[in-house]
Amino acid sequence: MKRFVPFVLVSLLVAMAVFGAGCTSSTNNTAGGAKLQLAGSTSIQPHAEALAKAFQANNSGTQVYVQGGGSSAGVTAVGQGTAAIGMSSANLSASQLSQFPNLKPIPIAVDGIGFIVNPQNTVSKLTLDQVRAIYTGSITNWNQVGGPNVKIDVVNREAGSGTRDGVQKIVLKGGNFSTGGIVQSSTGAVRSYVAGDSNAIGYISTGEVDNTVKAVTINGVAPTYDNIASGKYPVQRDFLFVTNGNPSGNAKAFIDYTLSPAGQALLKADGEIPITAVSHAPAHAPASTAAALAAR
Amino acid sequence: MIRIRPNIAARSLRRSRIGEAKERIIELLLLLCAISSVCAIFLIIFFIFSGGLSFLIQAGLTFFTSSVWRPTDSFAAGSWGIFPIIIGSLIVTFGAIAIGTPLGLGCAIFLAEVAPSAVRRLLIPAVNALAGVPSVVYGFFALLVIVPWVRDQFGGYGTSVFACWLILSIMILPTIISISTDSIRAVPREYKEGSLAMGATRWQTIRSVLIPAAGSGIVASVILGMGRAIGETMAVLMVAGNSVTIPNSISAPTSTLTAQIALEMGYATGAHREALFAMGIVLFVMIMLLTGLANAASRRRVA
Repeated sequence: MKRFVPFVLVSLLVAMAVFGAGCTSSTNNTAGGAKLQLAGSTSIQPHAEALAKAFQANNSGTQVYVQGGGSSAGVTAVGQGTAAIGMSSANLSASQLSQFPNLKPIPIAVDGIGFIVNPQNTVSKLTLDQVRAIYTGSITNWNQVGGPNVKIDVVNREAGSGTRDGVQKIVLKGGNFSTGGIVQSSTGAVRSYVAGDSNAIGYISTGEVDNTVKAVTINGVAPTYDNIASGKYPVQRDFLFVTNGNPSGNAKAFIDYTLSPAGQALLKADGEIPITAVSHAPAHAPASTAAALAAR
Repeated sequence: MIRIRPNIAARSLRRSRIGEAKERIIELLLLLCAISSVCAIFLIIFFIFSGGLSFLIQAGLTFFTSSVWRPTDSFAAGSWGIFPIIIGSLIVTFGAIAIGTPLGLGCAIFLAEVAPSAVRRLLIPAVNALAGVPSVVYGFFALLVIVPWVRDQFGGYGTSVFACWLILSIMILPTIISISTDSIRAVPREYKEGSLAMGATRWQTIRSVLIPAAGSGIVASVILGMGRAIGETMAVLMVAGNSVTIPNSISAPTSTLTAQIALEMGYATGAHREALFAMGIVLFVMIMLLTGLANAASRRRVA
């Protein structure tokens, strides 16, 4: 019995410590605070982490925390004040803006969405109309687009994904995905599925395309840096930082750094197309991009 | 309540007042521990229901009957249906039970009645190890081994109902084996001896005496296995294909309640998020029913 007492005490203490930590963990986001919390899109997260590391090297007083969770979660977090900067790979929706009317989207980079097939697949070019037909279910066999006579294995992302949202807006023009096909939960999962299934097609951020898969040309345009920056490649979206109201304090400092030549060079080195390199307002981009370009 | 051995009793008589206070403090601490675990379940119930109940009432019956799941659309009648997801959950679960039960029961009979003790010493830790493998590891194994095999055998995606059945039937084995083995071994020795003395063979004894006598425990093990299968998330998420359609063959992809919640929770806001909580309520009620059934089955054994 006596031996048992310390156990109980220790476990109670641990429980209290855990609960206590949970209650006080809401971070200090006020201007001038030593902590800066970012949350949101898992597509932007790795780039934000690289930016945070470089930013901290120059601003030793500020601790930058970068958290994933998805675009919507990031926007909600910034609206509710649990994060100072939200990361979104999808434009702010009308419902998000009605819930948090003060949200300010700041484009930091442009990202192409590449359509990837297995390297063994003989098809290497598709038109936007063909991709739409594949994802809405009216083309189901590779021989309808110049390939072998096998069924197309369509790989999709889950509802709410910023990448899926981009494809739905730009390629499907707001139409609905066919319910056939499978859903994978991340960029990496889509890529590894397509790498393992010779009949598959999927879509991922062009920065994440590697040699295990093959990105097809769309309307004859390859998803290269130049083609995305010039706006020739049609399937692209903005990477956004989102703040509640105008950015201030260390949030502003971080965003200024991101948009500075050093920060933009970092994004470029990471495989993205920095917003300052974009020579056009993308056809499907939100008004915010045009505004940001006009402001420069 | 607490039995005190005589020598300790003598000592504690000398320090009875301090001892009493100590006892009371310890009892209080234990009570706190018990309350905190009960609190956890009530907190979970409260948050799931507060997150999803109003949506469930608002969406009504169409939530269960509609086959169109487009949660990023605005809340329009018919586009928030989880019928295919519920069917997917049931197909995946019952298929896994259908494969896992004979396997697990066979293994349990072998362990309880047939296996020499050397083999048993090897097998029981192996079964326990099976229970300790994290589900993401099962999922990864299935993704690397089962999914490509299914793709080769049946064509199509590979991520399919059949892949789920195979991996889940393995995952529920430890539950079925350990509880069934215990209940078979708990059958009074006299039953078995009586049967053998009457001239029954070993197999006749197992089939006609041991299994019926251990029946309620075996049923409880299968129901608990079912609960594990229906609640499994990670492995299913990795191999089901997560397509919100009613599968038309065992090689077709499907989706389950758990996988769908895990898949979309990170991105969901507003009504979409509430809909996922409502799916959580549906899942919670299904699992509560199963647990109740398992309890009823094992209580029958005691009575």
